[in-house]
Amino acid sequence: MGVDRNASIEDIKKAYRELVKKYHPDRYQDNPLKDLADEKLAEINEAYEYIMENYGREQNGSSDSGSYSNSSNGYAGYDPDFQRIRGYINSRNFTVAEEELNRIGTRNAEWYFLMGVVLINKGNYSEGYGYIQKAANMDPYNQEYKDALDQINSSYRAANRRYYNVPEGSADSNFCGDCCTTCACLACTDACCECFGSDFISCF
Amino acid sequence: MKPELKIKEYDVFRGYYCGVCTALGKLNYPSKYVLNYDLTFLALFLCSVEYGSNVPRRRFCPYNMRKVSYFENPYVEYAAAMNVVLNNRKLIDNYNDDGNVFSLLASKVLRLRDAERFKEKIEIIDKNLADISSLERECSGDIDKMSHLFGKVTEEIFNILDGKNGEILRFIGYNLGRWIYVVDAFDDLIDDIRKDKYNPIRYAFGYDGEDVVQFKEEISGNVRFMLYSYLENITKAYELLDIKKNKGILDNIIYLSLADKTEKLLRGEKVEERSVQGIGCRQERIDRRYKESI
Repeated sequence: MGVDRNASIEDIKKAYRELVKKYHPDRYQDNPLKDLADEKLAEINEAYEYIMENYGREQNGSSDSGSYSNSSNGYAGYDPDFQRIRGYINSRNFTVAEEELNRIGTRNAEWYFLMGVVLINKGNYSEGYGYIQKAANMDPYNQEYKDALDQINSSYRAANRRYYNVPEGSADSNFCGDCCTTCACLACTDACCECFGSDFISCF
Repeated sequence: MKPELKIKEYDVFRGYYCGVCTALGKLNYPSKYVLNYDLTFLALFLCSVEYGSNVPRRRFCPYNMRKVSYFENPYVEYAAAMNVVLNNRKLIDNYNDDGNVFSLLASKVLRLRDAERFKEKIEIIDKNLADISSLERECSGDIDKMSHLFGKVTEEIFNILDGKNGEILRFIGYNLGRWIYVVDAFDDLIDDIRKDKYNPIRYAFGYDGEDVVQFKEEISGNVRFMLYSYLENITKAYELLDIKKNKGILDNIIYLSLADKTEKLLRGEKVEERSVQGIGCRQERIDRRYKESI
């Protein structure tokens, strides 16, 4: 678990939480290496349980790791066809979802959005992005379409930030520096969060 | 990014570079002149998932006019062989594209003599490269498909270990290839349009005579999304890998160099360095990408 032999229970818990975050099934949802991530997480849980039991004091084991539900971002479609297709997408059955979508004649914003999601999950990032962009243009007030593109790959940038740690020098961090010094943070919380990963607070 | 590396890490990286170069001396001497950093990266990557000594050998290097440290092992030798194969294919591709006789001649010199042992691997590489070429001749704009095919080429190059680590490395290789293909196309976009040469991005987004710089600006959101999607896949795979050594250098490449390149590219700065080695064929320029970064 990457902790010292004499690490305190707090350190172990902290390391455990970090590792669980890193290999969390949600992070690997769209990833062909998902099985390996699950395996890794199981190993981490096992190690954590073992350490906790042998530590002798606290016995809370892996109870805080067991219940990871695959979050399906509360889709809000009403059309029964799209509802069904969303079901396929949530269960990662993209081939069927694509077939069903191709059968539908009305190409509205939701159609483009769902097709975009399917394409991205097939690895056709450019085409999928184009579709979701189109959905967002057709229905500019739909938050789901707008958020989708930001969310999908924010974790690389977060990892990059984490590794870099020194916020001087790079263009991104300059931007953040500006945005924080001018106290415009409230206005661009989104952008700030994106640059700093989860801990944009450390900016102050 | 070199400024973020520790001196000892840089020395290790240098050691792999000299190792690949030394191995090239035995395989195909003239290939030394087209050695590039990404194959060094491959050697480093493959070695990093195994224990084993990190003790370099020493030899006199006539190019540096001093003694250098270098690593010698089967992975380094493999990376060198792949360097020869790839450069050979680039030259042949170059000849097919513009009938440059010099490329044809060079391809006769720069080739792997005992290619038999990599027969299947080379067949897969050739098949995918041929598919890319034929799409390019059709002026295809299917950037996802073309980057996929190039990803298949690099996947095969990274395909050397069995088991879990092998699977992860192949996935890293695949996404790295896709990233390289798109980076290269975006980097060349303005030049290619001005010289009226083929560029996949030009057709992917239907360039129609408007201002080139503005066109590039408009599509950069889509390109950014593509590139970071590949990097995201690379990072996730990398974090599953059991790294036994050289973690600092690999972290640097994965988390810093690739992002740094991506941001530079999207800001419109030239990523590649031209005319470092005279032979200006397309994929060779890709291969020099890591030169500046490490």
